Amino acid sequence: MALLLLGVTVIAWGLTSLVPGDPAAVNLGEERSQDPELVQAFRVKYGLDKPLPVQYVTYLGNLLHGDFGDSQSSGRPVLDDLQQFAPATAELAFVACLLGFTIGVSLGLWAAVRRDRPTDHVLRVFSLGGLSVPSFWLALIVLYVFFFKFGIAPGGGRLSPVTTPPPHTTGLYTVDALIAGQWATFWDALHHIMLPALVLAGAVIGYVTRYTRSAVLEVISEDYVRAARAKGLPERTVLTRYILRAAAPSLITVLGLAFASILTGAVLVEAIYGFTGIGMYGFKASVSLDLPAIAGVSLFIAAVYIVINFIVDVLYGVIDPRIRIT
Amino acid sequence: MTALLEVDGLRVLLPGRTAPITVVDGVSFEVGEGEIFGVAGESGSGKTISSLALLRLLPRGATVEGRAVFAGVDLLALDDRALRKKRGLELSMVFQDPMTSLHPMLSVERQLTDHVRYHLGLSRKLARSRAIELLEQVRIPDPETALSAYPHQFSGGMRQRIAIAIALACRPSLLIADEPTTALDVTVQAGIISLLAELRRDYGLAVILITHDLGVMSTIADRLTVFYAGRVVESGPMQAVIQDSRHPYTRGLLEALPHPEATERRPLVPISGAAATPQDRPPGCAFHPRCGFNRDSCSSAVPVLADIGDDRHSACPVDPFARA
Amino acid sequence: MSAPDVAVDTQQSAGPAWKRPWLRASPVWRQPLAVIGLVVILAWIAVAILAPLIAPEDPLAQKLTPLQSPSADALFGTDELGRDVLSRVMYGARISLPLAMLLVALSLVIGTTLGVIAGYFRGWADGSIMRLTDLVFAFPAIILALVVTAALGPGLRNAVLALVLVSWPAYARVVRGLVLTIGDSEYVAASRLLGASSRRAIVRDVLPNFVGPIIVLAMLDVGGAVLLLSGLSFLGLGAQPPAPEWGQMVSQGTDYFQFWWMSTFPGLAIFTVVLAFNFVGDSLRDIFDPQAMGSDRR
Repeated sequence: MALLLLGVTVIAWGLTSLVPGDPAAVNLGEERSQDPELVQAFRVKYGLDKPLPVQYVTYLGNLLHGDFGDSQSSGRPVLDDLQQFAPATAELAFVACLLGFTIGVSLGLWAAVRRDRPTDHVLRVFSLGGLSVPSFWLALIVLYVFFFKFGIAPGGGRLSPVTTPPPHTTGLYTVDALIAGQWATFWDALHHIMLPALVLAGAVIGYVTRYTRSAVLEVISEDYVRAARAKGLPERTVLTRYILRAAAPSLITVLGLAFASILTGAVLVEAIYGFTGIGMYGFKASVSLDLPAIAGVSLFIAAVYIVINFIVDVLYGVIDPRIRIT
Repeated sequence: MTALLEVDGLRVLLPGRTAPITVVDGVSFEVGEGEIFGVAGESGSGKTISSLALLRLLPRGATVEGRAVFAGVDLLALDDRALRKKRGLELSMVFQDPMTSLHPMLSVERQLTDHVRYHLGLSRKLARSRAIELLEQVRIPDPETALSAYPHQFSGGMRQRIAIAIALACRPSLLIADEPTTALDVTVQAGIISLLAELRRDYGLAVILITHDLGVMSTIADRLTVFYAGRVVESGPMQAVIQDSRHPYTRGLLEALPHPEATERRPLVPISGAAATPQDRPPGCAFHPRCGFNRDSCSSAVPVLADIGDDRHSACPVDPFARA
Repeated sequence: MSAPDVAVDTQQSAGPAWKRPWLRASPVWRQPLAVIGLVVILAWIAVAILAPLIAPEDPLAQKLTPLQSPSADALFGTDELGRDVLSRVMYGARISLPLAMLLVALSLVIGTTLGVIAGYFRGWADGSIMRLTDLVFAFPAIILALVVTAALGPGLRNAVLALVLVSWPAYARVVRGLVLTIGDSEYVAASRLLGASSRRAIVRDVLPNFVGPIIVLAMLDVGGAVLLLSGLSFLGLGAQPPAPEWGQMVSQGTDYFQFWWMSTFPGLAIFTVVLAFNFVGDSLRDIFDPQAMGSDRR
């Protein structure tokens, strides 16, 4: 895993080093980059005047100290930037994942149980549809309909302009507001997170439904399901205790994939909703060739992926006694 | 002996590629209380499907006709909910492969007690002690530890015992055992069979023992019925059917059985041809193409299971082995 | 098992999926979705090819009254520079469709080659190629594509390159898996024992089993490629104005929010194309491997 992370840093670093453009020029803007002194100062400050391999090694060294370098556009340590923006995306991802997963699994279960009947076919079209919608487009349409036309959703951002953020405990506005007992803030934050979360969830529901259906179908014809029925248990119990549990390992895989997919979609959706998260940050960093920021975001996201995979593995062990290390 | 289960004219149709297939074609038999009733026949003869039909565990799209009166109630006429209430409680089933019929992720205790608690409303504690009793009955060592273990931690034979314990948890009067020993080692088979005999002896449990292995059957069955291509061809007391079979198929089966005395003088004699499948059942008597006593009349009319005295029935009108 | 072989809904396929001749499985005609999908795809291809002939206006011409809602003159309305949205959407097909297919074709070729190498030669080659795929998989597609496009500069060509980089590992993994499964099988070993001339038989029997999963992956991937390409363009990293690329058009429309037709129609175009490919790919997947869960890297 460490090897993977290392490779990630190499990629992030290497790619941006191949940049034909000049980071200094991009970040300083047209006017100021005419001034050679300013450019040179910029270069020195960000170590751009040293040979590339040296830059990389320095970077690695700093990483190990928790120093991601300073963002070339904001001037702040990248780590700070990450800390500021990550919670927003985390909050969004959790809500979206929760929505997408619960709805998706229920639909998938329903489709499996009604296999080959009209419900199944309708659900199949529905989930394929969900997979096919461009998330940025859906975000716009939803915003248009619910904000512009019906006025029931806020226009963007994490909170209304008049509301101040709750005291910072986790950075997740909803959680923090709850902890601080600020109900109005809590509802406001929830209100703002609904649309982007729904859009992200929508993209994910499509294949969660499909995967769940497959997973359940694989299990539903197993002997132990028939044996459970032979015991006279009500179908509801057979479904939840026997079928779903057996399909759980696959469902956990899907959960991991869903979370990853939501992180991907966040880049596009955050921009539209003015949701100040990692997605937006990463995009801005890419466009302005902010090397430390790009590398920082890439590392961060890769690390998140790896952590998710790890959690998924652990969950497998919890669910399936056959693979526990006893 | 009162009949615990009376099956009359059971017919099961399953969806085929073009038309429904009659997998079980008018099967009738009776099982008495506390009796071990053997159902013999090759794969595809309809033995398993018949019992699944009784418990209404057939796949979607199956059609079932006939009557199956169990303790005075026609199972096939009950609505789904009423039948489900009887499953596991009054009659239950043990399946062939213990590797797959136990849920891999639920503890033994869970699988032993959830239906007990559902049917009988026992508390967790009571259900647990009942579970320990059951495990002792089926001779699982160290029952308390076994309860919190999972199926994959047991051997095949032990798993089958656990499956039997699960099936008996609510003290049903009838247990259907579908090939309970086929997936097990020969050395383990005897243990399972003697367990079934014990359970019958101690609790008056009636057992429908389905197996293609006549050798296994002959050790404990009281009465026996032989299936071929979805129909009953012979039935009667075990000794009589095995030692003095009247239907050519039964004879053929017995002679084809591996036996310790197989020598050149008494070789194993397989039945020529392949077993008839429900999809292409020969007209008239399903066995006639492979039968040495085949006559013209055999291919025209489906033989009726006739009473040949001494509580025996045979579906061979030719009756070549009858004593004069 | 004593249950006869009938079409019950609990039927398991006989033998591992790849052994079944791929032609014998459920007929294509039972999949109305595939048919609908194919029709839509062909329609869009036709639009793409015939755009210069059937589009009412030049997509770049700023002739009409700007910001007109859909009317008889301009069925999809006009944008802020007086360009006909309908024509732009039609011409957009000429960008998105060929590029998406090119993208998939390239990923397929690169991925399959590397996958075969990895599966056939094993050892060091296998290890390093798999490490490489792990590396790519460690990033969400968008982020990697972002980084690459940013590094290489915005533009469609670079966007395609970036996306190829992101997409080939999926093919490599699948192909490698197939090569390993088939190479290992007793079937192949037995065929080898029967003589070298059976190599022809292996090619004829084995290769079709490759084609299936790869075609499924490719079909679904074209849809994904269109989504990614338009996504990148939406962010400004792919197609540049004034090119009538759908994602770019949606982005353009966000500034003119209340003129809903500017974003809606290009988005609809993307949706229908991707949906069509997903219909076809999903139906194909049912045919080639009904029990596949796929290894979607979306």
